[in-house]
Amino acid sequence: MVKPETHKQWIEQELERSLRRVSAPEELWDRVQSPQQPRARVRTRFMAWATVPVLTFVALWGSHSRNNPAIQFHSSDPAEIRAWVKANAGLDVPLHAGNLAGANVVSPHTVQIAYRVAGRDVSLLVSDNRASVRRNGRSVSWTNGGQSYLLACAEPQDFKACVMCHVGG
Amino acid sequence: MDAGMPSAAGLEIPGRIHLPAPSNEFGMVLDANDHEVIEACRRGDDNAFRALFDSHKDRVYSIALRYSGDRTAAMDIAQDTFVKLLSSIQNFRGNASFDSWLYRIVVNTCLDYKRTGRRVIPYLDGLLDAVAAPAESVLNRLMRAEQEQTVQEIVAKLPPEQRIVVVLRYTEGLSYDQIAEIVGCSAGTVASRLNRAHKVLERRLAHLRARR
Repeated sequence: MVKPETHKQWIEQELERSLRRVSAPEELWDRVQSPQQPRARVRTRFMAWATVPVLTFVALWGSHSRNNPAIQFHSSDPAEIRAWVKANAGLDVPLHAGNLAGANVVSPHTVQIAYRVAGRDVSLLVSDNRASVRRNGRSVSWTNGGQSYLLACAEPQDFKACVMCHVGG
Repeated sequence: MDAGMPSAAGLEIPGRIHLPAPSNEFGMVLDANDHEVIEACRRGDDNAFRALFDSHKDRVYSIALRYSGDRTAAMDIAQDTFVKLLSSIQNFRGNASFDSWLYRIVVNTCLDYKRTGRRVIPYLDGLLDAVAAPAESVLNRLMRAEQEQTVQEIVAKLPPEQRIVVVLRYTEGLSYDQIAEIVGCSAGTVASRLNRAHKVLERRLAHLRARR
């Protein structure tokens, strides 16, 4: 019965890590002091988003060359990468030429588009989601052609460089 | 929401699981200071309630988040839990376990929570948190966050009675006996629900294991 035990240990480790306790948002105290109704009505705003195909793009600007997993598909051709991504992840990702290095399927719902810009590795993670978009100091969002984009960077000053590469930006 | 109010005699809610009155399964968690805080809450002392909130907010929010898989829903559940706590603290018996009592409130609030619309997938939240982390390889953190998000999404699809047991086990690290006391069933039932949940999760998360 070694195998089931191994399975159990694996899934328990995964659950302990993925379901660990987190910190409550600061605004929870305000909510408790001034209780408001559950935000069901707010969701109607998001239902409009669900009527159109939404691709959420999370772009990541940072160096990861040392730990970068092997690229499954090497190409600098945006059409080739787009076709490969569509075939392997079911996502339609329009891309512009320039700085492309390849693509990688991260999970059934997420692909990584690899770039090489100014000697640094850059990853664009693309996920098929109907998502609410949050704006904060590290992200900016917009819509274009019926799709929603979220661009997130490690540092706010990297937005400019990310947008330069980003399709439709 | 009044139907979910705990009482010293336990939760008597028609059509829902019966939660027995608190016992000392969790031990005497209230020290003298805790008793004072709760007594002060009963007198309407706002500072005392703030202290109680600060002590337990992370636990309540985490259970709500891991159960619902949605930050908006988690805020709703956590808010309801503390409102119920404040409005019913008069009923809390000081000789019972406060932790156990609080767990019952948040568990029932989770089970009561009705999703009125499509879940707003919280996928991006985890990814953005990962991006914000400076030290480790950003991509590695992002990929790990994505993997954890996948686990959370699968857990969020479990039936409620399995999901709450999984959350109490892995978010709170409670024993089968403790979970049984909170949920109002036998430890054997807890084990059975966990076992079924494990099998479902193993099957749906097999692709993650292959990447380890």
